[in-house]
Amino acid sequence: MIKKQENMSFNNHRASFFIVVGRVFRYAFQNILRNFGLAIITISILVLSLISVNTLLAVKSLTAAAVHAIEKQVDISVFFVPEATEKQVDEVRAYMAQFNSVTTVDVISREDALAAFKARHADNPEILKSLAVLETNPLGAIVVVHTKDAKDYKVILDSFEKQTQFNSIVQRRSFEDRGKIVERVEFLTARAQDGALGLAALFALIAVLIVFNAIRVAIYTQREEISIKKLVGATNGFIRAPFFIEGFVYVSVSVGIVAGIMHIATRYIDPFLGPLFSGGGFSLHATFFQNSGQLFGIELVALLAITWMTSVIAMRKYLQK
Amino acid sequence: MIRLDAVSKVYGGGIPALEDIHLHIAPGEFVSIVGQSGTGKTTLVKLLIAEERATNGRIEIGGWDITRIGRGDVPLLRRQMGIIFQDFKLLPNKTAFENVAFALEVAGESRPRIRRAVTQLLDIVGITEAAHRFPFELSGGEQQRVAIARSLAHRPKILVADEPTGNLDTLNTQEIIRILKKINEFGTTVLLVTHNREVVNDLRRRVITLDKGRISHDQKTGKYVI
Ligand SMILES: Nc1ncnc2c1ncn2[C@@H]1O[C@H](COP(=O)(O)OP(=O)(O)O)[C@@H](O)[C@H]1O
Ligand SMILES: [Mg+2]
Repeated sequence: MIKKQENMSFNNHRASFFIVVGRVFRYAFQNILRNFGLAIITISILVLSLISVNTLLAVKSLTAAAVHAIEKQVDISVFFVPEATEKQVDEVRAYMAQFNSVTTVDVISREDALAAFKARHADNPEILKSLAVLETNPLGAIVVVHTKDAKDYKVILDSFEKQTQFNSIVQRRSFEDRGKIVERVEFLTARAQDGALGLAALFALIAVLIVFNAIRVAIYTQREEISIKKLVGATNGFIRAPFFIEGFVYVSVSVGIVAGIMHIATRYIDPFLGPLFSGGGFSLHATFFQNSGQLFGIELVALLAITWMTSVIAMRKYLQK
Repeated sequence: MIRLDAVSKVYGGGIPALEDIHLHIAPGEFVSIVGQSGTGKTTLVKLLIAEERATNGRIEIGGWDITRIGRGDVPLLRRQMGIIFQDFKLLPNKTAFENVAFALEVAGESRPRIRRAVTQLLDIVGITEAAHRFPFELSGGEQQRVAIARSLAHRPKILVADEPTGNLDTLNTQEIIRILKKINEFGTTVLLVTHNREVVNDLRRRVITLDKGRISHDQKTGKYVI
């Protein structure tokens, strides 16, 4: 009389896919609205976890930019004696330019060097007066070398020193005094990057644990409902689907909120960063949102994976009977 | 309609909750199951709705051997039985109407049919006015009537009630029993687990008494004997 196939009272039809999808979506949104307090708490936890991770990512790109800015200020300047000919200066320029790691070699002519010197001391009549006394330009030309990486300077400088043919025309090189800075910068770069990465990993781990627990609690509070649904003949999929949809809503809303917060926060911070980067042009906002689609996409997918996996694990116990 | 052959149930290696149960219940019967607390009444109900599996023996419901029923078939079995509990087991975030509708929604019924069926079911148990209230806005008696409406959603051939009046006062108890009798009159086999001596004695129907996991009495028109 009772059969495996269901044919008791109504027509024995398979549930239409669209009816089922419509229903689980309705349950999910009803559940969110009717458990609004729990929804707020869950979203808050997700948002806080995401903010901590994103803040560290922002700090990481900030340190990278700072290190880069310091590196840009480091250069090798070769000061020539006034007697050095243009040809000799150009030989040095050409020598420097042959290195792969060198990005730019600028030549400042004797005249430009003098003009710059005068401009620098425009408010010091003493210096200008003593300069006027001299009949000839006392300054030599300058060759300024920039490299891709701070650690390249030492290599270039070492090989430059071995070129004894230049000894007679070079008055001094400016790099010695900056060698220490470069070493410090290199040291700090490595530490800062390691530190930020380690912290970000730690925060991400904590965030995962917090989210894991929040989902478990959310499902624990609904364990009674899960068992009731089973008792009235719901399949496991029919019970799980609304939870997955809820998880998707919570995660998307949270990632959206965090993207908004990061947008506002980096915009707010940018004006304060201006003076720190004398080169100008650095924007934390622009840097952080450069690959924002990818960044928040990864965060969305990662959070979805975590929440869904947690849901499956947490619900399994209550779906047994 | 219900047949148990030499059924026993042992939870996790302890003493048996049920032992060597032989039972046959014919279609249309109204059977009360009585016995002291801890004698296996609820365990018997759980075996019938496949919430637990028998350790030994064989269980058949409406010609379907459910002794080793597969996980995927459990929902199909439950959609053909009505089940009522002492604690009502309504979904707290759904209204009375939605609770009854849910039992039909899980089976993929269409909306118009569900609307018609639920309206009718709530009318039968006298909950029309409170249809859109949530369980916490209903009295115990009203909640149990909603649960009965839900259990009838699929017009089950079998209704199993585990101490449905355990949380109710005398008036509500009488009302619930009246509804169960009515359901039985329309042909549904009713299995009523109860502690209530008066209920059993008033019914004057078959009474099965459990004692320490075994059937100690099975009387055609029984009395509460403990
Ligand atoms: N899930 C379970 N795990 C272990 N023992 C159980 C479980 N459910 C019930 N029991 C035991 O089985 C016996 C019968 O319980 P039950 O069927 O609930 O009795 P009743 O409903 O007659 O009060 C009791 O000794 C009880 O402790
Ligand atoms: Mg019991």
